Amino acid sequence: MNAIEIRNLNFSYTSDKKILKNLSLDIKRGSFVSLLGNNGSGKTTLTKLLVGLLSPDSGEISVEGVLLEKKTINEIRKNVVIVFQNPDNQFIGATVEDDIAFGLENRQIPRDEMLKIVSKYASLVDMSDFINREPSSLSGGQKQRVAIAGALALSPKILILDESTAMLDPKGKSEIISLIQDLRKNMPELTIISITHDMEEAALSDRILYLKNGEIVADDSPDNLFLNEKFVEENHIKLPFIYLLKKELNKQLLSSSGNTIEEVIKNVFKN
Amino acid sequence: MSLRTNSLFFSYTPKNKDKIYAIRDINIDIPLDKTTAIVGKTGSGKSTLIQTFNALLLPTEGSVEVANFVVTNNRRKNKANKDLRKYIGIVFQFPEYQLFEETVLTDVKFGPKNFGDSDEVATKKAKVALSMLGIDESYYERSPFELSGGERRKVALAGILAIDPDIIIFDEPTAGLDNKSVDELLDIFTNLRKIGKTIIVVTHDMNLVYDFCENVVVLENGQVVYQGSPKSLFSCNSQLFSLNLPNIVKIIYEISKYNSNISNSNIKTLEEAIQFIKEVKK
Ligand SMILES: Nc1ncnc2c1ncn2[C@@H]1O[C@H](COP(=O)(O)OP(=O)(O)OP(=O)(O)O)[C@@H](O)[C@H]1O
Ligand SMILES: Nc1ncnc2c1ncn2[C@@H]1O[C@H](COP(=O)(O)OP(=O)(O)OP(=O)(O)O)[C@@H](O)[C@H]1O
Ligand SMILES: [Mg+2]
Ligand SMILES: [Mg+2]
Repeated sequence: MNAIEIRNLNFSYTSDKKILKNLSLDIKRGSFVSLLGNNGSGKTTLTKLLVGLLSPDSGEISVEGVLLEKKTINEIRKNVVIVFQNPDNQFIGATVEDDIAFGLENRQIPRDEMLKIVSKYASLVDMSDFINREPSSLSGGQKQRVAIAGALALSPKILILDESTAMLDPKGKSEIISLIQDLRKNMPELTIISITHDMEEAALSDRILYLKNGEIVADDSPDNLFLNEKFVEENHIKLPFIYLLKKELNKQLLSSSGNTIEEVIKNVFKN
Repeated sequence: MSLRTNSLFFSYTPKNKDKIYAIRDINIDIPLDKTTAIVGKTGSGKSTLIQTFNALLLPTEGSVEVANFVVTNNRRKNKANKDLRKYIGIVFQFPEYQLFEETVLTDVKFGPKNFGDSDEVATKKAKVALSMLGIDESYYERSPFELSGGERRKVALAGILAIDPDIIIFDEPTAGLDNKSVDELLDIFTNLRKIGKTIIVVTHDMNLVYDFCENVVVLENGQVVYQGSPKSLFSCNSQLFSLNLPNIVKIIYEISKYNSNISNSNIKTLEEAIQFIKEVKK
């Protein structure tokens, strides 16, 4: 079953430039997909189309089996939640607590239950101490944590992370990534689309889509994509370190097997 | 020449009786002939600290001294703020805080004009800065708010470069830039250093710190816990501060398990590390 089906999607903001060209794409339910592409390639635009914040020039989008139209927008927005690039754009509440609660209020959840959900997600992202703070007064990384909590609290079927960890410190980044891995274990139907420029992060996904000139020019597993030297070079992709290490060892005709830096170096000295 | 802070404290709520300090008792000396990184966990006070450097935030206590500027909480003494902001430019963590004009070109022109350039000169400087960031003419008349995230950061970067400050502070400049644009920005940094500019960069990227910076300040809970060279930071202390290790340091550590000579070598790149392995295995 597909979480998302896109057929012949065309979109442009202005008549002189097509952003998406006849794009067709299926995303399997429960998969973890990275959407990559250079600045301005149309990644954020595509996510806005998915929730009806923009409407296509032509083409069709279905989400969880429902065709996106005016009358289904609200239903679709319940299923798909986006954490936007700049968290300030999505803060509405006067406090962190209100903000995480905001989306839940629309869903007619009783207040005491709501507060429980809020405190659960605030603590999952390690922001419990900040619950009464004004979101605008948080540091960059704190804002991103709150934005992620707000999205998770809505228990979406499809979670779209638009560079949502770009401002986190390395430890915070891996915490959020393992949080997401845990969520997926508990909710095998949860679909995740992660937009990122961080190839280390992309390497963790099931599938990579690469957007360029309005088209998906690569659709592959991280392994296949990062081992495709021609593609990597043409698109100036910065390899995840483990791939770079193996590639350089290979060039020098040294052994290059293993899944971690530790293993690879061990094997070099053993063989 | 250096930028110094003297017992610098800053609180966002200085009037509260149980005021919390975002940064506390900071005493650092940032040499202007070196590239300095400011690192530390989310919320450790990095963005707060750098904003005191050009008086966007005034110290609650203590002072910042650089060239012949002194920043204190005494507004009257800070008359030279405009000159200070020509001397020290900051590219904000979120470009949205910096962009406000109707078009990309007028936005980037704003800085130079504000510091006294004619429209013609400012336009020229703006165009040069934008082209350094790979933003071509087709963007000039567009609204900065109708750009992609990465494009917006490039315009914000150009806005500060166009002012041509002596010291430029970048707050997480690579966030949101694609891989190629990051490399292009590093080339810009290299050129800025060549012409004698001072770069201070706030970042979570330890590879950038190790490969590019000569000096690093680590903040934790608003206090400085380390100040010195990246090399000695990562050789002993970084675990203490829960920082990630740069890739090259990880490799050297792994190799040292099999041949401890590498620890005393001066290896700085992956290629050199692999050459070392080859020699050892011969
Ligand atoms: N509101 C708008 N009006 C006109 N053009 C726009 C608008 N928003 C974005 N664009 C343009 O559409 C293109 C795609 O933008 P989009 O934000 O989808 O890129 P992106 O892939 O998310 O890039 P980034 O990695 O920089 O975030 C860009 O060239 C951008 O300038
Ligand atoms: N306007 C504000 N009002 C009140 N507190 C603030 C304000 N801005 C920041 N703070 C607090 O001050 C502390 C330091 O914030 P700062 O933005 O300097 O952190 P940072 O090191 O830049 O973090 P990040 O890496 O997440 O950007 C944080 O705990 C933050 O919540
Ligand atoms: Mg985007
Ligand atoms: Mg910050």
